Amino acid sequence: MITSIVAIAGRGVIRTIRMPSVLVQSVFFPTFFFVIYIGLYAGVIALGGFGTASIKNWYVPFMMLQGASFAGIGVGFSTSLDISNGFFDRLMMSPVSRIAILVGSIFGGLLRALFVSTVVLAVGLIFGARPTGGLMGFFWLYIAVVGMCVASSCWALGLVYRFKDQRIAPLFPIGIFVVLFTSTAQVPLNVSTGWLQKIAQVNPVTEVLGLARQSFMDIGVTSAETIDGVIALLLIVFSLGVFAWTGLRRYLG
Amino acid sequence: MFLPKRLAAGLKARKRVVMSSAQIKAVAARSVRGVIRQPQAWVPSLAFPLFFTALSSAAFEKTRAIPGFPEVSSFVAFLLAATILQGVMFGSTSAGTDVAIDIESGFFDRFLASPISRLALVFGRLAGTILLAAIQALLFIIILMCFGATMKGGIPGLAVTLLVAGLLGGAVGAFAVTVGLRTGSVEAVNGFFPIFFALVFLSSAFFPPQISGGWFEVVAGVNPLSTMVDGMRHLHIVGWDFSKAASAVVVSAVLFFVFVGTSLVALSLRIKR
Amino acid sequence: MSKESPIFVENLCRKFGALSAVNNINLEVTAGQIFGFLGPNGAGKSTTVRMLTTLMTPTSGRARVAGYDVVTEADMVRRSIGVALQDAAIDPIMTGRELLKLQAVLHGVTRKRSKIKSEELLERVGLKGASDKRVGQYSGGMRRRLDLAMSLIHEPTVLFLDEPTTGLDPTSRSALWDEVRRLNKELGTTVLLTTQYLEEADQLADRIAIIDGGSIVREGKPETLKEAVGDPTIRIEVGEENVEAAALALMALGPRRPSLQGRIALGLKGGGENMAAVVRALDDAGIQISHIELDPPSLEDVFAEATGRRLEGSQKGGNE
Repeated sequence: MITSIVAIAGRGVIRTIRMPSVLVQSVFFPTFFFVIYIGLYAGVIALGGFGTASIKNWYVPFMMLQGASFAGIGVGFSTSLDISNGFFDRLMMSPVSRIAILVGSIFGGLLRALFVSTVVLAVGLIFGARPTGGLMGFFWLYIAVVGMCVASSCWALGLVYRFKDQRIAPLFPIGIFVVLFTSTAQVPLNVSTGWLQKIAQVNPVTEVLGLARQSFMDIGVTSAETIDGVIALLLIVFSLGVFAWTGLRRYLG
Repeated sequence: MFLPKRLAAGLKARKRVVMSSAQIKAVAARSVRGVIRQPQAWVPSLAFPLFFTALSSAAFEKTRAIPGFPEVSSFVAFLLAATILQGVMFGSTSAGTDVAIDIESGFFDRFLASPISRLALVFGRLAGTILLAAIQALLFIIILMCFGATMKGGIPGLAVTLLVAGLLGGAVGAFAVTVGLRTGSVEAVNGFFPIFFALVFLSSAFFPPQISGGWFEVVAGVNPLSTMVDGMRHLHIVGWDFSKAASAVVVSAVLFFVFVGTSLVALSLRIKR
Repeated sequence: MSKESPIFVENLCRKFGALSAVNNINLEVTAGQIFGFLGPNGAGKSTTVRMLTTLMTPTSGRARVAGYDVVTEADMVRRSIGVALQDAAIDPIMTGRELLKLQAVLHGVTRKRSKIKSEELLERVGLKGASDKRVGQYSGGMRRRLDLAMSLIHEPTVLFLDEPTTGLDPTSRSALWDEVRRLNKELGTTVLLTTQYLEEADQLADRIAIIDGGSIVREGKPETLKEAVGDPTIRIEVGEENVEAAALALMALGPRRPSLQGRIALGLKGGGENMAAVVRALDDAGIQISHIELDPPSLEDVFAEATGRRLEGSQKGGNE
């Protein structure tokens, strides 16, 4: 089982390395947005309640999660290609367990997510973001990165397995975009208003962002923030995992 | 208007071919029809700016209290110009992708083989794009006014906004047509998308640069899109002002004529091939 | 019928909504056989193969492959089969050797065995020199040969080839045929081959089944099926406008068979001895003959007789 997971994930890694243009693209957007956002909304931090006085500290973790999420849906794109050229059928005809196919595919996207988020982190540090959470802060930040990558892979795979059609692909980023931005992605709960505040309050991504942001907040890592964030992350990963798994089961139908 | 020498010569040689308004209309109608029949081409350029506006206004409503923020009744009102700019810039690239698709499929050659004027090919396309951009702007105005946007400049303000949207749509369309004609590749046209994205974000469209300060204020200050947005925004949230209106119109008109020029050069090079 | 045959299919059905893609199919392929599954596009060949290779669950009926049930023992089936799919489904950014290795791991072949086997197979299909190139640079024929090698890496007992030569040039096609024959002979692998080319079925298969509209309409050895058609086919070119008149004139000489436009074809009763009668009958009717040929019964005739149509896209039909 483990060797099969490694073999399937290995393909994802090869894909990441041999298609540098895709990698550049997935690095470009989060870094680009990071730079724009810290310039564009620099004045917003004056409203207070961000937990940090630095707009760079506020946006670095979010842009890392965004990069990881979009890297995760890359797995959906490559699987939809595999389905259209028949390669996926070859996997399904092998005696490898179905779980290994799902898990291997998801792991294949992790390298890209880690690379992208680390580049964003580096750019953030260069532009003046200053970590405050120590090693534990970084640990939870990368847990959130991995979790969001897995969750978005599952979202895309669940759609691909169900629809078996490349035309579903535009839905991957739209779903991710909507869910990410209706959280505390841009501003904290006490700053947002109206419908956004209401949705952000119940959006589990808000808690995951809380987990990730501990690395850059004045207060540092706290157990309350960590527990809430980990629970939210598990909830997201589990439910989207079920979505992907049931999709794969239906693939044969 | 500037006409490249080679194109002028080419046109003289084809004296019998006259550009008639009927031809422009036919090409324009085709491009409008093409857009309407492909919802995947226009739904995102309507939905995304609206979603982004809804998101930003709910996120940044309270920033109106920050000293230096222009006097405005709501963040939505502040964002009306930005919404129009964003929607028009993203929607109008389809003129270029359509040209590239026509070239890839060989349909463009069929046009060239017909006695239709070469100029009608470009102007027809752009006429369609300008029309669609103005309609798009009107839709944004109507929708956002339901959510608190204002048009303090009245009918003249509305007219100038639609004119600027049309000219900007034409400019972006002409730029995309230039790329489409030069490369014949849909991917190349779409490749410029992030640049438009950057230009919009690096302007005064989404937030007052004087509050942001720093390098952003400098960049937004020299970005011609800022002049256009500021002019339009003044008509939306303050009232009629001739010099503001004129500055927005002049910037969009200059962009329009420059890129129409480049698209004509690209057309003459494509014909010579 | 024996349930231990490499392929054993009983009342197999597959519906898509109201549409019945495969309708009550029964099949048995014995060990070491090359079995040809012949039919036009959309006849149900691929659906049947997808069910036999565990890629699709049957709506009803049963199928056993390599002695295992395709639904309840799918895993064991997957261990025992090799499949080369239509369009050679391979990932263009990987190299041939990497793909072989991946396939070996997926089938649980040990590393050592996989190495030996890879070399042997690359040699066998003539891809040794190209094995470290990315598959995206391969030609159509090379991709099919790699596909074949991949389907053999775990030494399957049953091999499925789904339209293995569609889209290949004649040289690559006959090279692939040779390879399949050799495999079957040397390793004793049972092969189920789907094809829309009559020539392919004729060249390779020990037994064939003709599928049309989701049902098997003929099954047996190619020779037996041809013999059952009986009379040879006479094809006469008379021009579009004379076809009906010719049909009338020749009515007594044999039943009409499907043919190309401008021609008339019939199963000539009594065979070659009656050719003169055909010429006389047309002459009497004042119909000019621009071309005439007499062919012994072919799979084309078997297909035509079973379905009332010519097989579109079939090689022989196409060249006729």
